[in-house]
Amino acid sequence: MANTSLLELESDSGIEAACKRLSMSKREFLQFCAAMSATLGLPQGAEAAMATAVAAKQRPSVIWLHFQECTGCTESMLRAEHPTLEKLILDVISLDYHETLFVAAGHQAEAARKSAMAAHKGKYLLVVEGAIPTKDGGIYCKIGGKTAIELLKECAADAAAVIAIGSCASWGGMPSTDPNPTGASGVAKVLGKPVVTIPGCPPNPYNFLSTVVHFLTFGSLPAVDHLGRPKFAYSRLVHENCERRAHFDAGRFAMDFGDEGHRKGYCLYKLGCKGPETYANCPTILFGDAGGGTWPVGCGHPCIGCTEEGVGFQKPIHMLAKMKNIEPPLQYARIVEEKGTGATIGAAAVLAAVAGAAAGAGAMVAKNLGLSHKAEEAEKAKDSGEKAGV
Amino acid sequence: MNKRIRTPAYQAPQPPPAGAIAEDPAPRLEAMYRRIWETSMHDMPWVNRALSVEVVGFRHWKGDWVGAVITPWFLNLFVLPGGGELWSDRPSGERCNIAFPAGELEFIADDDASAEIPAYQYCALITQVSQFDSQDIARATAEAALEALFTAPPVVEEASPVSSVADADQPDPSRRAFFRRVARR
Repeated sequence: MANTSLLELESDSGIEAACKRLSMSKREFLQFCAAMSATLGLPQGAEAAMATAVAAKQRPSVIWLHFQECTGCTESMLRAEHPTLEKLILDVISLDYHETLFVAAGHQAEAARKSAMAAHKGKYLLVVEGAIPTKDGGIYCKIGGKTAIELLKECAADAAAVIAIGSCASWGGMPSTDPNPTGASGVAKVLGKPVVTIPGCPPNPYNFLSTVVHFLTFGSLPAVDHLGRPKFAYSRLVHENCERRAHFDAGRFAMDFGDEGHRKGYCLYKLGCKGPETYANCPTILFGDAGGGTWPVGCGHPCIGCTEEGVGFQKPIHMLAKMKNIEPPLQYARIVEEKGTGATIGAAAVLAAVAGAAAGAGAMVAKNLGLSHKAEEAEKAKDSGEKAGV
Repeated sequence: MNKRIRTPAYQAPQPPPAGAIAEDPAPRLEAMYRRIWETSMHDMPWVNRALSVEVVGFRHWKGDWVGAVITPWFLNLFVLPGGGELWSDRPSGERCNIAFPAGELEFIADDDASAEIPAYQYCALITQVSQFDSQDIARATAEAALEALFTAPPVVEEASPVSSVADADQPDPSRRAFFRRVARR
C-alpha cells in the first residue's frame, strides 16, 4: 500500500537519492509533489504516493515524435520558469527518442527508436507534437522515408498510452488554419481512437508533467473530457478563473489598446479576449509557466484561445468571444475518489460540491415550475374543452 | 532569464483598508449592480433578460458578510468586509482562499473606490446565466449554493486499515514536533 504521509518520507533513502539526482533540497522536492498533487485535485496522501513514485519507479520510456510544428512545446518544456521543472520532466521520463534533443542523427536515431519500441513493447508512452498532414497520402511530412501517418501508426501500435501535446497534435492547431493546404489533422483523428490531448500554443509544461506523474503513480492517465483533455487542467473557462473577472462583472472594459481602461487593467473582452470560450488553467498556473509577464491577460493582451479548436488561429484576435454555457458536472472533475478522512478537499472540489448542489436545486425548481405550468395548461385546456362542450 | 518577464505588466495598487460595513449591505450592492446593468451591460448580446439584479441570502458570518448576487450576466458568491476574520485587504485581482464549513474556496479581490461597495471578494459560481429560464430558478440555485457552502461535508468513516495503523505510530503532526524531529536528526 502506498505511503500516505509526507512526514514519513523525510527519512526515506529513496527520496534522498532522488533529491540528490535532481539537485533539489528535500523540502523543495516534497513541496513540489504536494503542489502538483493539489493541481491534480488529488486528496491528501496522494502527494506522498507521487513522491515515492517519482523517486522509486522505473521511469517510463517515452518516444516523442515531431510532425508539423515549431518545436514550441518542447521549448516551453525546457525553458519553464521553475528551473527544476525541465529537470524533473527529464528525470521522470526516460526520453528514448526525441529529434530535437537527440545526439544521434539519421539511421542511428531511427535505430534507437526501433530498439526502444522493441524493448518497451506495450509499456512506452508515445508523445506526439505537431499536426499530421493527411492530404495527398500524407506526403507533406516525411521522416526517415516514412510519412507522418505511417510513423504515427507504427509507434502508436505498441504504446501503453498516447499523449498529443500542443494544439497542433490535439486538433490540428496552426497548420490546420484555413485553407489547410496539407490537410493537417490531430492525432486522434488519424489514429481513429481517442487520445489524451494537452492543447495550448505552447501548452503549460506543468500540465504535461502532472499528466505523466499521474501515469507513473497510478498506472493510468488522468480523467479526461470528451476532447481528451485532462479535466484537472481544462475543466474551467479562462474567463471563470480570470483575475480581471470583476472588471467584466462590473462592466469595466478596455475599449482600445492604450486607453484609460486598458492602462487600469480593465477587462479585455471588448478587445477580443477569448477567455469566455476557452478552457484552460492559464489564469491559475499562468500561461507556459514563464511568469506573470507572459500570461497574456497579465500583460494586457486578450486571450487568443490557443487551446480551443475553432477559436485559436481561426477567429481574428479582435473578434468578440462567444459566451459559452457550461454544465457544472463537467466543470469540476475529481481525479480519484476521496480516500480516508480528514482529507481537506481542494478548492475546486468544494466549488464542485457547491455548484453541483446549486445546479441540482435549480433544475428541480425548473422541473416543478414546468410541471405546474403543464398542470395550468391542462386545466385551461379542460376549461376551454368544457366550455366548448357546453 | 530576464526578471521583468516574471512580473505582470499591470499590477493593481494596494487599496486602502476597507471600512467595515455595519448594516446589511444588500441594498447598496443591489443598487450598484442595478446601476451597472443600466449603464454598461444592458446592451450586451448575451445577457439573460429573464433575470434581474437580486442580492440573495446575505448573512453575517465570522464577522463578515457572505451572500450571493444574481444579475442578468452572472451568479457569484460575495464576501464583503464586516470587520471580521474572513476579510483581508488585497489589490484587485489577487486571489485568496477562504474557509467555509464546506471547505476552502478561492475568492478574487476587487476594488473600485468610486463604486457603492468599493471593496469585495467574489467567487464566480455560474458564468453564463442563460441556462436560467426565470428568476425563481436562479434564486433557488443561489440559495442552494449558500446552503451547500455552510454545510460541512459528511465525515467518511475511516475504513482503510492502513491509515489507522499509520495513525498509531504516526509522529505528532504539530509544526513544533516536526521541527524538533528535523533538528534531532
